[in-house]
Amino acid sequence: MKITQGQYFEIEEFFTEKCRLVETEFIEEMVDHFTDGIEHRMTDGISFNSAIDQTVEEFGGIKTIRKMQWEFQKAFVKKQVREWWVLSKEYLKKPKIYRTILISLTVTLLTFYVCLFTSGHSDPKHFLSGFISGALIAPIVFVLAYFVQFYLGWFRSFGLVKAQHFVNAGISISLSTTSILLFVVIDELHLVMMIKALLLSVLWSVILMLYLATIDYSRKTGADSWYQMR
Amino acid sequence: MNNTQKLLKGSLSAVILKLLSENERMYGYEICQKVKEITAGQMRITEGALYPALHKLEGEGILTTHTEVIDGRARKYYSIAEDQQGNAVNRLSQIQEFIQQLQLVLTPGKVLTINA
Repeated sequence: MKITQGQYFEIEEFFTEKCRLVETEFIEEMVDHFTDGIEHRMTDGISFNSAIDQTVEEFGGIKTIRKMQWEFQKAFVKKQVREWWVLSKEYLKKPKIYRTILISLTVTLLTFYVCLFTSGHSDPKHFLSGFISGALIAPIVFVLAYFVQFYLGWFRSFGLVKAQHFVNAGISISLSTTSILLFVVIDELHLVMMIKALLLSVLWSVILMLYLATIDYSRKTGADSWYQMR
Repeated sequence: MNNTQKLLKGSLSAVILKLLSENERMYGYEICQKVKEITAGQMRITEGALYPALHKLEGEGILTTHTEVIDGRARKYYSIAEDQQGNAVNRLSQIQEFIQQLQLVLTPGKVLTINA
């Protein structure tokens, strides 16, 4: 026995409002499973409301469903990071290798120029350490917003924090923080300026390449913002 | 959760891989029903165990998914990734080997030597 459209929306609402789930892909999968299960029960003569209650019970309740979403998110992040890594590796293969060579050459020239001709003019570390401290706020806000959205219903009217945003934000913040930290480490080493410039060229080239892969990844997944309104 | 279900939970990925190696693609509800059908209702995969196992295998890259719209709603199908067919077979044979060894251990009359 097929459910009505109204009943379908009721199932969807159960996941978004009662369970307060946020992952669209996971919600769609659960709605499909629920619909099948409920239709099966309704064919046996059980009412829609009883069928939905029995199906929720079969799943182990709202708590289990939320836990399932958490497991989904963990696997999702793993899968997405792997996809990003595959895209990054493409920058070492044809045809993207040409772009990598061009970027590396430009970065190397710029780094050598900065190291050899502008040394002592400014101290970039003050700005960079400020940047790192500032950037650290982002993951804290993200994690807080992620947990708050499950417990405060009104908070969701501002938007949702999904696993996809964690991947994008995580990769971007990790890249910028790692690049700055490594820059500071290299800068502190007592090396000849030429060697230092060479190390920095390699660092910035790799980071830029990984950033480009992140842009490719964002385009591919459609995750164009860290924070998505409903 | 009864004992059969507890044992089943431990070998869930094997069940999923076996079913998917026999059927090109399957979705969650179908897997649950198939297990029930094969075992004449003796075994039941709980949704709370099935989906995390499916998502984990997907996260590891062993399974791939694609979504189709069926009856106006999105349905997510799972299948073994093309480059992971060998890996899936390996995993299955490892589990089968383990079950055989377990049978040897549990068969009465066998003399066992356990190395500490």
